[in-house]
Amino acid sequence: MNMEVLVNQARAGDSESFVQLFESMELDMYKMARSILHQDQDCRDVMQETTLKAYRSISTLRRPEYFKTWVFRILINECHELLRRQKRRMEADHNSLDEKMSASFVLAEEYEMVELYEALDTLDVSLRLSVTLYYFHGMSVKEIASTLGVSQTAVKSRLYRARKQLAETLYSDIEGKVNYETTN
Amino acid sequence: MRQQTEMEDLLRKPAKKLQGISEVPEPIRANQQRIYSQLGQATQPTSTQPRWKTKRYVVAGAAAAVMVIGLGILGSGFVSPVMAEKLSRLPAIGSIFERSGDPGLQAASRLNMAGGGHLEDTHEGVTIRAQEVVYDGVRLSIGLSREGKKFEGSFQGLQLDEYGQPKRNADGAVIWNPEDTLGQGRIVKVLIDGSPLNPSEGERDSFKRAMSYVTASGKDPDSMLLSFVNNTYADNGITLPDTFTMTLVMEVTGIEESFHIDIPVQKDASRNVELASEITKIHDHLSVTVKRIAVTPVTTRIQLAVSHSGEIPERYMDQDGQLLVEHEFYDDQGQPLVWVGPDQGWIEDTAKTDDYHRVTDYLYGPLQDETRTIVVKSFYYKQDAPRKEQAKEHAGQDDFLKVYIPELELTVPVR
Repeated sequence: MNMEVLVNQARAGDSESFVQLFESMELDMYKMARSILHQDQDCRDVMQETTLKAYRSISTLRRPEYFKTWVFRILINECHELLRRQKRRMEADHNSLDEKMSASFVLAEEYEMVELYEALDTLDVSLRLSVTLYYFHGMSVKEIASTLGVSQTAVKSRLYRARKQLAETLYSDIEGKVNYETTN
Repeated sequence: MRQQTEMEDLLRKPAKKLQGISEVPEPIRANQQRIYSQLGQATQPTSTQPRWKTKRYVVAGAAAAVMVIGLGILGSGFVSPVMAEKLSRLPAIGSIFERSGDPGLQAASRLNMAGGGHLEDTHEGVTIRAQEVVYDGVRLSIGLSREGKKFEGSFQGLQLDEYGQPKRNADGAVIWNPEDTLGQGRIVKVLIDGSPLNPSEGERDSFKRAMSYVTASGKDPDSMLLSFVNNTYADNGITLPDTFTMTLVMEVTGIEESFHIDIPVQKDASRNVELASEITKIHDHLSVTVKRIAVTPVTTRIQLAVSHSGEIPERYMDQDGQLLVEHEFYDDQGQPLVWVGPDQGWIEDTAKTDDYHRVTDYLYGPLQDETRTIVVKSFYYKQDAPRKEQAKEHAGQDDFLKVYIPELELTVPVR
């Protein structure tokens, strides 16, 4: 059935339509969560929270055609919050830092990937999200701006700062300036 | 620049890995299924939902009268073009009516008939707003919201769980806010064009004629529904005018000043059907009459009159001598109508004779377009059930305790 029809039915209170929509998006949601978070149990938690929050507030969605973007915004916010909470806990308890670093990374099998993820972990969450959406998910600056609810200028600025910081972390033993520009 | 290229390449590698993920891990899939099944239970209102009723007994002279008021999920009618012009679209907060679970309300919302507004008052940083208002000639419903502070408990008083359903204690009873809960609202006065809604106590039959109002919780702690139902069961019962301004005066716990909100209202009964029936069945000296039915796009009101002269079987009465017989309503497909309430009525039950006469307005959601008749069934709870309240607690075992009286079944045309 057409997605817009399902969304309208879900907005009117039809929970079956809502479930059908979410089932069709589960894989994409998992990939998104997995690209931001390190562990499957974290992905499970944010997907659960996203489902519940979307269900409670679907009637606020004014444009059915933006349903997926809207859900992903909720999902990314949930990932954002979870990372913040984890970061605060890590800062309070240095032992957990070791546990975090030794968690298995499905996506980071090679050593250089481990380095990349460790470098990403040092970024501020908003910068990390921009990098993840741009590089891991191939989203354009415009799409990222729409999903995060910020301006395109803000996205470009975050990508610039993120790349600068990553370069400093990854290549800190190499002298020289690094200079990056966004291309779209 | 080589560094730049290297880093770009590195950053793009995880994308390829992500493309290789072809399924959601089973534990996550299973957890999602568990959540989906809970969604279905949390939101589907059914006719077997418990009705929370409050009975108020008043003895006035020789007549004992009972007004039955039901609390429940309230719905709405639709808004007239005049109202739609006056009210503006809602901000992002969302529609209280849409989320109430009432089928009439959802129908109005799907058709973009429930208007939104910025009728509000603010004190000490707290804003109380009448977001949506509808009046279909049977009932006036208002969606109210509060915002501005971190509140405790709920606006209306009923405590809610994370799915917007009332919390219940171990005995299954709903849980109310503790006393003095910050942010709880209370209607203290209702004016219609500046005059009190109801006649003053000194006036003849003031209590019988009065219009009551009920509140129900919205689907979140910061919203509530307020409903006024025209009193059509009493002679000269109070009914709302076709066009008026309602002034709501509310108090909110923790805020010193009271809130005044002026709400312009216009009745839209352009699609209503009113039927006078007087179809009667009599059995065991008990008579049940469908007096009239009102059908609007979002409300179905059925008025029943029940009478006897004291010769009815004892099993139809409880230990206090009150009539135990109640009623259910079905469409011509055998589907129970969805209760929206409140039900209200009046009993004339004098001590001088054994005559008993009860008139009740029952409020249900809208009918399907194809419905041609309504079936009214009468039943009573077994007298040897420990207590009537306990019988109602066993709602899932209804059939075990209910006894239907098929001789009193009525079929009434509605179109």
